[in-house]
Amino acid sequence: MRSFTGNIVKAGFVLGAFCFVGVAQAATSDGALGDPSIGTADVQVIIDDLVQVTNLNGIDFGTYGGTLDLTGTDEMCIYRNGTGAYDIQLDSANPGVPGNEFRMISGANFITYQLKFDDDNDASDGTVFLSGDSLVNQAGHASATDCGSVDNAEIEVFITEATLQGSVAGSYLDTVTLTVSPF
Amino acid sequence: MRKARFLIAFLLVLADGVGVEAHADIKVGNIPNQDFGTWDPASGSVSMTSDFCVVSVLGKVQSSTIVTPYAARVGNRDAVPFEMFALGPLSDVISLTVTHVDLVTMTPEVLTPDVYTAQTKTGALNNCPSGLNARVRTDINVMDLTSTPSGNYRARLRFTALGGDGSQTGSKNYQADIVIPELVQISDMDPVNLGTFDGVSNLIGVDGLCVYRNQAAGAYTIEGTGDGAGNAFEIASAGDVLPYQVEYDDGTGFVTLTAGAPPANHINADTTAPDCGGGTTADLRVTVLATDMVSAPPGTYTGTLTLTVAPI
Repeated sequence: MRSFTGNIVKAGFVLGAFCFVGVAQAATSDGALGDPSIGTADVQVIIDDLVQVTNLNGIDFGTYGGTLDLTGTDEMCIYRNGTGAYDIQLDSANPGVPGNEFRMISGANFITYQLKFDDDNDASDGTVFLSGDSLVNQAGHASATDCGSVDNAEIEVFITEATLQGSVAGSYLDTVTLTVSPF
Repeated sequence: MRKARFLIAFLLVLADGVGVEAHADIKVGNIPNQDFGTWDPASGSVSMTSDFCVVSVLGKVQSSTIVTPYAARVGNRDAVPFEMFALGPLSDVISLTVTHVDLVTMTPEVLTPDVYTAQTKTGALNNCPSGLNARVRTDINVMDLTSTPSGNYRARLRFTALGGDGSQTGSKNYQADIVIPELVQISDMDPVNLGTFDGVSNLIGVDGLCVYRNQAAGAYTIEGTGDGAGNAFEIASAGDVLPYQVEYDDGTGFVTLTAGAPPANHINADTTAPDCGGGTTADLRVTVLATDMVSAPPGTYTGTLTLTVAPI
């Protein structure tokens, strides 16, 4: 029996975009000598578009038992200030050429797998990605960077039994990069 | 002895009677006091004038028809400089500038305390039949007023005219009064630009302020208001609002200012210069919490913080 280990490591990013032009301020003024004296100061804060993906974990399939498909999932939190809307792109560190399939590698050998993403807690009905694909206008958490401790997106990795049984023994690994940006 | 006195008096009367014009006479009419009232800082420098009559003639005041020039002098009855003195226990003074104006020639001349001008001022006949011929003007520079402690101030002045051959003089006293009210000023206000939220950290801005108080204790109150609903400390962007916190340190440590709360007492104001000598006497600290910013839509949030300072 051939055995292998699949491992996916994912990376998240915090992205900021400077989209705002400074607003002219004219209200700051000293008070006059008198009773009373009234001074004013402008207060300004700039909040750029912000996104954050957190709570990412590796998907470790362990050692293949020789039968059945393998399915692994990981939930995560994606925060986007304001509307909550974001775009996401998924990339494999070892994409297939020229098909851009997601692949784990072990030396010169590889295993092709299917990756799905969904902006809820169930990626089984999510969108299938090829490496480099992106999805726009997904729904993130708009008021808490930790999503209120409730994850709001999920990826699913699926490897068919046939693929596994046809693979050379080894420890297979891929790194999936999730690039989240404001919609 | 009685005969001798009678003889002298007779000779004097005789001299007048035959018109010996070498004799000159001086009489200074009443000089109105100069009451500046309560100084209003908005009026800046202040000035008051008093017009009066200086009779300066050859011969006797009552009968002469020949005027002769006179020299003018003003002295401070309490000190050499032209200064107002605080009434009461204070030792503070306000500097003055005193000017004589010849109302006939409309020629002003700034006076030096207790020093005569040249004997060129136009005299008048008795009771100034052509109109008053002399004016004393008192000027107080705003710079001398803004840095003066509150209180009532007075200068007791004496005008003297010298005429004839330089031996005839006439004088009148007058006074100048002003009230310096309780004043305070807050300055050195700067925009509090807190920068761009990094997604993690609170944004904090500190601005040094100058608070001046024209009273030795340097005590005052301060009240903060924002332009949010109910004067809340809020900044806004396109209808979205963010709260911010305001703290104030008069040198004794930061305390929180609550929008709309009664004014809080503070100390350590500068008591000598409205601009605090270029320094500061207090710090303003504004904080926007990260926990509020993460839930706010992107945008540039602005607002105006108003600090109202009053004397106590």
